[in-house]
Amino acid sequence: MFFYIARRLLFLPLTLFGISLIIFFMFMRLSPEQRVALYITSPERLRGDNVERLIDLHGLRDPWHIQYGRWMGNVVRGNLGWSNVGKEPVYSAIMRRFPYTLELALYSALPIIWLGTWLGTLSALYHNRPLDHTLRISAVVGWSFPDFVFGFFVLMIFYSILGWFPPGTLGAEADAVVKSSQFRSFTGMVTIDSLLNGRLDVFIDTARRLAGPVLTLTYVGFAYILRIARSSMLEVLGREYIRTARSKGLEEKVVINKHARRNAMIPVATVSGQTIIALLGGTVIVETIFNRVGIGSFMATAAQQLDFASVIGGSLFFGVILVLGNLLVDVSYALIDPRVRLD
Amino acid sequence: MKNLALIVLVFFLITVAGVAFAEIPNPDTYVMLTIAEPDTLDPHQAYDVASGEVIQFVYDNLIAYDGQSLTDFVPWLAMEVPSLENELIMNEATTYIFPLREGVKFHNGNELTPEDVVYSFHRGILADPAAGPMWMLIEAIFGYYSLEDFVFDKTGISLNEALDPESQLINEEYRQPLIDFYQDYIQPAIQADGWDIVFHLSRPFGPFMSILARNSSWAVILDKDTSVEMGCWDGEADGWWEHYNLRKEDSPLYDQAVGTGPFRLIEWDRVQQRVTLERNDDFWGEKPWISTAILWEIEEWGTRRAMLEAGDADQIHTPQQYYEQVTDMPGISVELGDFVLVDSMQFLWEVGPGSPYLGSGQLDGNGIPPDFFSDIHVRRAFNYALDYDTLVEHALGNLVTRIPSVLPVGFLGWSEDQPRYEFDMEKAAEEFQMAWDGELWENGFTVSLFYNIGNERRQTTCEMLQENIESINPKFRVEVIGLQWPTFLDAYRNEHMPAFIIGWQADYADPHNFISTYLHSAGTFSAHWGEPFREFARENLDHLVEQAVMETDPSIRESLYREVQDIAYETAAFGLPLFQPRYIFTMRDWVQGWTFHSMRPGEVNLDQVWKEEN
Amino acid sequence: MTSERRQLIRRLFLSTSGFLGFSLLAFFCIVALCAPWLAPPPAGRDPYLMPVVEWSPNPQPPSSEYIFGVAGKRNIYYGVIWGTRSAFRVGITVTVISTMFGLLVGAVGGYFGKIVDEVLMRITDIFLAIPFLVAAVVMATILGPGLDNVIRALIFFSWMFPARLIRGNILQIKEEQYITAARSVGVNHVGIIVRHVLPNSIFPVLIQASMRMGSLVITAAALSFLGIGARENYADWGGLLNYARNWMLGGGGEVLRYWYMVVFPGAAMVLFVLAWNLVGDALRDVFDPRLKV
Repeated sequence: MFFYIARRLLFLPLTLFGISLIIFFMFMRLSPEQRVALYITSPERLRGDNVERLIDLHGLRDPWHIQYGRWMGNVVRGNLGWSNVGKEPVYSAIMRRFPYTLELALYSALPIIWLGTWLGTLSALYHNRPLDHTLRISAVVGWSFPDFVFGFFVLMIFYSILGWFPPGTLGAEADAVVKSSQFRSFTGMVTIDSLLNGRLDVFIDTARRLAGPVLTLTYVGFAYILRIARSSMLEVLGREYIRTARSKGLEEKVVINKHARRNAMIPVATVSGQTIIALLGGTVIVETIFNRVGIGSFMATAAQQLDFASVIGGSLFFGVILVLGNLLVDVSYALIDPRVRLD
Repeated sequence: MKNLALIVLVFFLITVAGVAFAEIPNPDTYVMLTIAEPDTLDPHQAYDVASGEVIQFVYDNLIAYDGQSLTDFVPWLAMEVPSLENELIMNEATTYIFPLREGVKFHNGNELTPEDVVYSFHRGILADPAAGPMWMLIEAIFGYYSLEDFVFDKTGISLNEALDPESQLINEEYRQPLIDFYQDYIQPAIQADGWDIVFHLSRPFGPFMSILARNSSWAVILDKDTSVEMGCWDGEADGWWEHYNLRKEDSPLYDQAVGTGPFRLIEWDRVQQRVTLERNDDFWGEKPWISTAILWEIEEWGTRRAMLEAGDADQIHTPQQYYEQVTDMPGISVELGDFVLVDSMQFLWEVGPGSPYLGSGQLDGNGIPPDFFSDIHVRRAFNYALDYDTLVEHALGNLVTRIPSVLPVGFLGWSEDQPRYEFDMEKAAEEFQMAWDGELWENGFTVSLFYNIGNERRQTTCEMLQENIESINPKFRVEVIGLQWPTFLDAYRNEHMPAFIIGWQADYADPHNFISTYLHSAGTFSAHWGEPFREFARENLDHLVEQAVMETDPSIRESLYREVQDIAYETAAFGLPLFQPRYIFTMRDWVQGWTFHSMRPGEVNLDQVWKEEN
Repeated sequence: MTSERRQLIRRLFLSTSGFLGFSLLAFFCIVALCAPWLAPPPAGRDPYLMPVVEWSPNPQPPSSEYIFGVAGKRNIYYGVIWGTRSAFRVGITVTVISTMFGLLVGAVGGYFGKIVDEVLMRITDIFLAIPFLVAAVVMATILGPGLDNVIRALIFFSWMFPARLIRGNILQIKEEQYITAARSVGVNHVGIIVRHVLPNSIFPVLIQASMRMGSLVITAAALSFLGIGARENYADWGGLLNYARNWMLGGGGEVLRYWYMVVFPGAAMVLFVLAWNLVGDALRDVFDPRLKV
């Protein structure tokens, strides 16, 4: 196991190097003029040789190896560059936005996993009966919904009509509380910090704003877990020992809860880990339409404005998260299920 | 599992219970939702609306506009507005004197001194960041377009080559000439004489006052001591170049601001994209009503509108095309106003080499030759072929004002009677028949019209032109192409687009800013219309444009600008002048004291509004 | 065809999801094929560019002339009809090409193992380490607007999924006896892959492909929604929804005032994706050997 982990970690720098090359060469397809558009935001800035001056200032006309070397040199020195979209250094731009995305991903993962497992099991138990069909179809419908369409439905109903779930991350008042000197930041995730600080009002404010995105992500996301839970449960129910247990006259409830469900949950556990990781990279649209702070919307804006430093920095960050996250999932899978060998 | 359900239920209830209703939420706080956060708070780097919006309330200028006027000024940090009558403008309008107000304090308690004013202007001119706003003062005072040109002309040194990437001199022999440059040219141009600030211009320059007026972030007053402490230029002649052309993130004033203005900067939160301002209770003038102002970037229109509707915002930026959504919203009031921005379609008299947008590159029906628009009849035909009335009234819902030339309404030289092209398909056909000696009519053409993606107004205009031109002759093909801004910029720079719509927002309220941009052979736009145009401009227009800006008598200036416009009309040299878009200002009806000024960056006079139920 | 196979196909079409899915797909196919008759384009113009039908930018509710209403100066009905073709084009092109490429990479890696496999899988890992949507947004922005560019971007970042699947399957099958047998008789590599390995792992790939089809269409639409997908005014559901983006929350106090802007293109898209997901679901049920209860 140790060697396995060490080996995977050894490949991390290689993966990051690969990512940086992919992103870098994609950007190199652009002309210096296209890349300098990041700084020329209006026609008024076009005067005289401004465009050339800016291209020079940022070295955008240098040969590719010089540009890559310059970027790499800075990274080695711990400087990921300046994020024009974040209006701050890339590293701090990412670090200050990540907790919000993590918070959203974690809160969405809870109902997705819970609902998916519960309904999936139910579906398996009622295999091929109307309940099974209904659940599966409604899950597939959810899965077929683009998150931007469903997100707007949520905004429409829960904000415009009912006024319950406002968009954004934090209201102005709650924001002032969070920034005051009395408020201590423990995790960077406002829901947790506010409770630790005993500020229920801040908690409520931020929780209300989380509810809409969480609802959206849950609805479009729970189908996958449902499917895994269902098929895994069906498989287990078909196994020898369950039949034996049933034939021995054990109570159905005991059979299902004690024997079947426990075994069926192993694949669900793996997929759940992957779901959380996928959610971290899949919040782009939801963050955009709910106007939430987060790394997803940050990356989307950066990409659209062709902000090289932000895009490449963010991609590397995601690379680290995905590699470490998957490693964690694989290792814990091996720990839960003794049949799995890591090699 | 049941526990989890319970938790979810409780969470839901708490959430719902948290909804509060209030008459006017936060009566002392004004929440304005914008579509952009500041680019930088350094006044000498800021050249965008969102930055200017903050800077105008934190810092002060020497003078301000009088009410809605664009030509009359009132004293601000200066005690008097210079004029020929009060003899504060002298030496044939090359010397301007501004007596400074005493007893004004910066937000940190420092006293405003004449030295601060002189420092502010010197710093800005010496900083001249690439694509920044400082060219305006450099042009006004010295007659150059950039510090680089200025230095090169006087010393023969190219700043670009003399400085390494760390802004250090490459060669010590440059040091003395650069020190001398500052002492010989910059220092004498802006000086303090007691409490008088004296500007010496190299020649008369008509728009000078409007370049200094309030809302011009490049001409605000910094506190010298504080700035030096923060790490800005120390005011010494030796080493000024170390602060020249900095990247915006390297400026110490990037995210800090200490001014004398009605609000102090509390925070620029770049994660939430929100700027928070607080009333300056020691403000020297009339103090604002509201105690806190929040300028908050919310990109999504639907979200902005919903927040206004819910009372979470007091005012929101409203794109023109969504006017219908706000006109009958309960509890909302809508105002209209024209910012000083004009849209026009520009024609390249000669498209640059390597353009992918010319089709066959010949007049054979499948493309156009590079110099398609150098033919006066083509330009005129396009001008006749646009159905202005339908466009303005129907397609754009009367939310634009059609302009005959490129001058915004009310500017010196603008006139209701300025001749302009009217929609006339017969004349358009006639002109097309005459164009290219009839070859055009015979063979037809395929031309592409461009706009930047996201601007529906310009898109609609192109589409209407497309419909009309194609209906003239079945051999005429028009394609409408939207480009993302980076690609648009690239195509613009390389002079690849034969015809495109773009706008120009006034830097300062003077016709020079528009006429020179559009009609001078070295204008920001017109310099890129190809050699045939530049030649035409050098022969017919340049001398008039140059003469007009040096003239100080408004009536002479006016007739010169009229003359330029007449020539441009005759030859359809503007391209296709379109309109000045009308802005929609949407706010809760409890907002009081809101007024409009067409040169104000941003949409709200935070220093004057308050909230009160009608 | 063996009777067992016939049996499987029967089950595939007769299962609830299979039946629903295939009927929906058939419906969309018909719409796509009959687009020129259902919504005749103006003569001489590219039919995929939705023509202007109305100069006012304000949306208009369904009427007898425009049965789905007008959005962005365009007839929504026209866009929905021709958008079906775009959806098929994106879904099928991306799925087929990325699956082929994935098959190649996976098959080569899985079959040869060792260094080849190691290198290919590390490259796959690199591509997998960039979140799909983020990667697609970056690449689509760089390539510029246009459906072809969307397709390119999606292919570039989605071949890894079939590659991994096929590799896993091949590793499994490789151990099985008939391969060992084939190898011992001296059948060449390519022969073994094509004749024995691929046919046995094709069903999981098919299932995955039909499931991915749906999510690819959604991703393509998401790009259009963000304004970096198909060209403006191109008949594409994502583009139609992009018109609706700024009207979805209604106006003048009526939340549902512009419902038709979302409902028609939204429904078309949801049904289309649903069709593929249902088909995938049915395929999985029928071919997943673990589920024979």
